[in-house]
Amino acid sequence: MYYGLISSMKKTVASAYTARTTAFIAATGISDTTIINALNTMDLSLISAGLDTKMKALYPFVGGTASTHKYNFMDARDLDAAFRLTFSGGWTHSSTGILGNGTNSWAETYLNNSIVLTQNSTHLSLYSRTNNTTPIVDIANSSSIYNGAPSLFINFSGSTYIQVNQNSYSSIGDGDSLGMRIASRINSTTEKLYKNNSLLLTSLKISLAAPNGTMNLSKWYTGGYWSNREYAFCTIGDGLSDSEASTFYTITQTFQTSLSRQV
Amino acid sequence: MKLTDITQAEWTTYVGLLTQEQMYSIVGKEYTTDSYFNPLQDLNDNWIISVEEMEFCTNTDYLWVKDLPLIIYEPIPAPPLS
Repeated sequence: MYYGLISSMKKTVASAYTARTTAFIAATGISDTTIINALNTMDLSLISAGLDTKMKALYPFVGGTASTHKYNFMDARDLDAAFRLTFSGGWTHSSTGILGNGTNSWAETYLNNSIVLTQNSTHLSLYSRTNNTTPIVDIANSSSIYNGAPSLFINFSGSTYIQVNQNSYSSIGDGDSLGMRIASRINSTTEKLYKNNSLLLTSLKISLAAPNGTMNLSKWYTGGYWSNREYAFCTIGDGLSDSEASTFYTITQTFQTSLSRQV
Repeated sequence: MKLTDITQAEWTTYVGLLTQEQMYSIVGKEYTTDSYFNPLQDLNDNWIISVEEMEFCTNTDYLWVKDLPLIIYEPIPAPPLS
């Protein structure tokens, strides 16, 4: 009788979190219930909105160390094939995210666009906690074929630049580098930039094939443009529509707020 | 100048100076768990690493990086965005 009761209790505990949250906390060893509950709420919200299947890599940057920040929430295996990050150079890891040094810090995602994503459905997102106008590359592809596209340069000397499977930049003046930016393409003709909950830019650019290269944080394909910003969230995945981008921002901001690190 | 001579606010101003042999011995190696050295050349062709890599190094094979001489960082200008 007792065995049955205990077994039943274990099942209840085990089902308290989503499978992804359970896998992520097992991989990272995170025991802080504030973080775990924030992750679980985020995952439930992504599932409810149908956004979880669009995320190929989702880096929540929780736990405060390189060993916890490296994991992809969508596939928390310690493998290149799971898009687990490799950090090179001088990153500073803390409970608020990953801070580049602007000198030589970058991270390899191992996510190859030509394998994982498609020409007309791609998004990149970043959540920055640093406000500056430094000319840096926040995220870009390692291939030179389209000058590092897909890429996102937030408030690069005053303008935010995007290239989503394109060989020329679209840009628009940006008042700061704080919060979330999403670069997205969901068709062959248009790429868009979202800043927090707003559509900042719609650019008519015919798509080109997804490049055969991997996505890098804080590194352009030529080197240089190293980031000196702190990131608290990053995703790479399928393209997001206007309503999906809005919902995704709300989910992300709720996540950051629950960790007391929102901007 | 050494690591102990500067404040954290000065970390972005300085870098650690490596010999070529030292560069080859650390490139791609783990300086602390899940973090890897990334030596670069500066404007004067010096091999350098960041102060963060020196400060946060816990790998006992490379603790000597904490004693590297510091120089002011002069980056190679990034190529223009094309």
